[in-house]
Amino acid sequence: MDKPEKASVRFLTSESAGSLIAAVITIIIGLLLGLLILLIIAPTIALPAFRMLLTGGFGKIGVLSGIGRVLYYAVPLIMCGLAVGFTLKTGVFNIGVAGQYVMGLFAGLYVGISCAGIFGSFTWLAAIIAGAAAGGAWGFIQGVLQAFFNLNAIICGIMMNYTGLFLVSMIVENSKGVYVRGRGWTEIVPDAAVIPRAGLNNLFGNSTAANLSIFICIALCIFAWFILKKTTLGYRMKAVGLNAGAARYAGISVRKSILVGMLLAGAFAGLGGAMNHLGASGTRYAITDALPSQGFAGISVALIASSNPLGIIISGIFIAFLEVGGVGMQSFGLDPDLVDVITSVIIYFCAFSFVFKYLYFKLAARLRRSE
Amino acid sequence: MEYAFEMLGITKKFPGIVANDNITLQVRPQEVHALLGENGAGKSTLMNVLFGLYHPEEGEIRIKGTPARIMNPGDANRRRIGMVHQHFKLVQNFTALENIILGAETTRGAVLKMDKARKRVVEIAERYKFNIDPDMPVEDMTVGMQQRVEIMKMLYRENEILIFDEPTAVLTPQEVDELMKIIRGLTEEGKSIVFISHKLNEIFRIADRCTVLRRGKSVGVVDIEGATKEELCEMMVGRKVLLQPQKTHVNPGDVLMEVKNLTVAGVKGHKDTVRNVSFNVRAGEIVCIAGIDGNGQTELVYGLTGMRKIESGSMVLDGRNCTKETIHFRNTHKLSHIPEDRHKHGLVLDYTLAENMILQTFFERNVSRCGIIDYRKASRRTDEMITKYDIRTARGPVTRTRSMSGGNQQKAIVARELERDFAVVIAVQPTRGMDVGAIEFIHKQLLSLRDMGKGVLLVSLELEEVMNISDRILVMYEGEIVGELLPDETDFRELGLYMAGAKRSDGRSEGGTNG
Repeated sequence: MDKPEKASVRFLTSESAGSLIAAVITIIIGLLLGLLILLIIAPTIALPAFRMLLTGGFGKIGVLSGIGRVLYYAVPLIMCGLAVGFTLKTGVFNIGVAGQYVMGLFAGLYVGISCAGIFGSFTWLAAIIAGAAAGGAWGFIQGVLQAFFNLNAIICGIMMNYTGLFLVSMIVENSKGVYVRGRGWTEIVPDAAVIPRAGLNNLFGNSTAANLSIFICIALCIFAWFILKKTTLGYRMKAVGLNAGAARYAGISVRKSILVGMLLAGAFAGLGGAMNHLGASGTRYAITDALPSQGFAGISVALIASSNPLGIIISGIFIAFLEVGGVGMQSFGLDPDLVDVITSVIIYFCAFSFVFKYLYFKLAARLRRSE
Repeated sequence: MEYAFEMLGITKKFPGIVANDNITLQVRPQEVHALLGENGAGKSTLMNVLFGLYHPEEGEIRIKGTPARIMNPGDANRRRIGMVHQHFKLVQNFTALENIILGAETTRGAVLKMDKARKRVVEIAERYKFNIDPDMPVEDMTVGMQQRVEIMKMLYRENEILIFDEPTAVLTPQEVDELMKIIRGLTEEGKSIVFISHKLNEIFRIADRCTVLRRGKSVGVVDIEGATKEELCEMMVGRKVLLQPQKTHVNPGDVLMEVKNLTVAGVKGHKDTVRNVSFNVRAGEIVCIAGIDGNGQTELVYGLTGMRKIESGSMVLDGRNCTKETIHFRNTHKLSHIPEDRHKHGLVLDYTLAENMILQTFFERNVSRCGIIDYRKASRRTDEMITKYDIRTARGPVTRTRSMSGGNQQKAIVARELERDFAVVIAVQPTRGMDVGAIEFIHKQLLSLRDMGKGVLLVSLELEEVMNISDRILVMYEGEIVGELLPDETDFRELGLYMAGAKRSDGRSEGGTNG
């Protein structure tokens, strides 16, 4: 940097450029970290395996199945990312996304399996709406706890996650016609409840589960962006998020804003859960005591995108891309758990993008000053 | 002649601004040297350079003629330079003694040796006639006493160059007198003083010479003897300024705001509460709440605006009982509010100027339709206000308010609140942080609104402002209104006695309620 031009300096130190550059730096460092772990654990196959991680998402040349798979994986990630990012704009760190996701997933499955007779070929629609409603309700409860009882958002979110997860297990185990006794899982989702492929199977092949839900995701991200950018509701929510004191002074209800934010975020996450499980035919939900990873990956998705709903579409697809590549790595004889470790390290490391953003702006400020 | 210290040709640049442009400040031994300038003139930057918090691009600091490199506050302390900050830096639950020795403790091993320190503190207190009990916790002290503890901190460290940053802002007139005496005593003992202020009266009372800064440049050094206030003011602002606003006589009309027996609880852990306060604001009247900071003014305003619950009593606004109404209701029913804390309440700093200008009106018909905000309209309105109120921004309506200077942020808030539809405006220190020219404009604006029949409730800590523009003065002390005065019939001394709680007239404040 010997002679930086004024305009370029101004661009490089602008908010959006900084966010983008910081995101890219974070991702690169995260990937290098993943590579390092790979080199330590399996030095002989590290490089080809890493290449698979980076390219597996594209699938084989000439076959688009990889991309189809990425789009399927991206759905829950984008929705969970949106659930985190949307509430971050209102000043709430929604760590209860996993719980909202499970609730939505369950409600979707339940309606999908047991109400096929009522809704006919629109069962899938009824089911994902039920998922959104259940997730929204769960988010709303968390919002009430935070807004009215002033509970710590982190503790509250974590507890709501586990409460949600075990509540779902309990209800599933006691639901006749939905639960397969002795197997620990639900019945298979009937075809009427599977989300239509919307022609994507022609594009990506029948082996992938890419379906209509990716379009719903993108539409909702645009919808969320519109709310935040253009509407009075978004104006209120952002004011609360940026300065709750000023919002209160202006007569904006901080509580209402948190409630609306959590309700919508919960609905996004719940919809993500339902759409993930109703996206492919033949899926079952198995009783588990582990929270779904999408809920936490959503934090990374949101933070890489600086909570911008449009950015979340891209970061969600990127993380899905890594996950698909990770699955491909198993073909090198790597243990699936190990693959999980590596992809998780990269994904969760991405949550540090704000650190790099901070460092970046500090550096930029220093460069400007010394100029 | 050898100076106590000199700052020669100091230049300090920040991105986009030259905060100090070749400034020279030379302070003689045993003089009180005033540093006068508007906000943003570069006073603080200059002092931060002296303390090694900023490192200047150009210039030199000399102490008693020898060049000194001051890289950090520790260096400054070793060079015997000390400062009393505007906001005291004391540990509230420590005693005076503990605060004074903090950071300069005498120890044996890791154990404090208090006896020696105590002896020295008592000695200093006697020598300078400070009436301070070394074992009194700071939290039980008056502001004036706390300031003396701050001064003793400097004396304990044997500082020779003492810097006072706006030291009178938080004091009553009587405490100001006391401080002036102390400063005189300090110079007699051989100390050199820099007195930072924008209050001309005080500079004329205490200073020997004065360096005037304007927009980062030094515009001159003036011997106070033989100078006039108008002259100094013109140097500071760069043009002629009307120090006393023109006020016409207006007969007050109907009661616009009626407050009866109002009681508001204090912020948690804060003992100041509002107790049984009654008064009214009529159309065409500027009623001023005077008092020392922290005597319940904040809570009173919170109660009136709905930001805190009213425990008992009532508030009627423009004929509507608003005692239990929400902030939103009051905002939309003819109450306007220029808040005390512009960063905590007045602005969403990460919003643009245009977004901030619609903070209470974004849902109204002329700004949004069907829940969608018309930012173009908001921008246009903002442009009008930028012109009318001379708000200086880098990029107009899309400027982030965080990047604006404090004075301009304040102007933006004042513009927003005065341009709304209101019957009564509660203005809490509306001219805080503004330069003299802007203060003049805001005062004119408030007076013209009053002439148009609006009610103004002004909460101010600046006595000059109180005396200059109010029609009626209510003095608050420990949460009560202890006096109602007319500016033409009172003076600073009397006002000061009321503010310090030394005098009260309960009968007259009752009379005001019924009038």
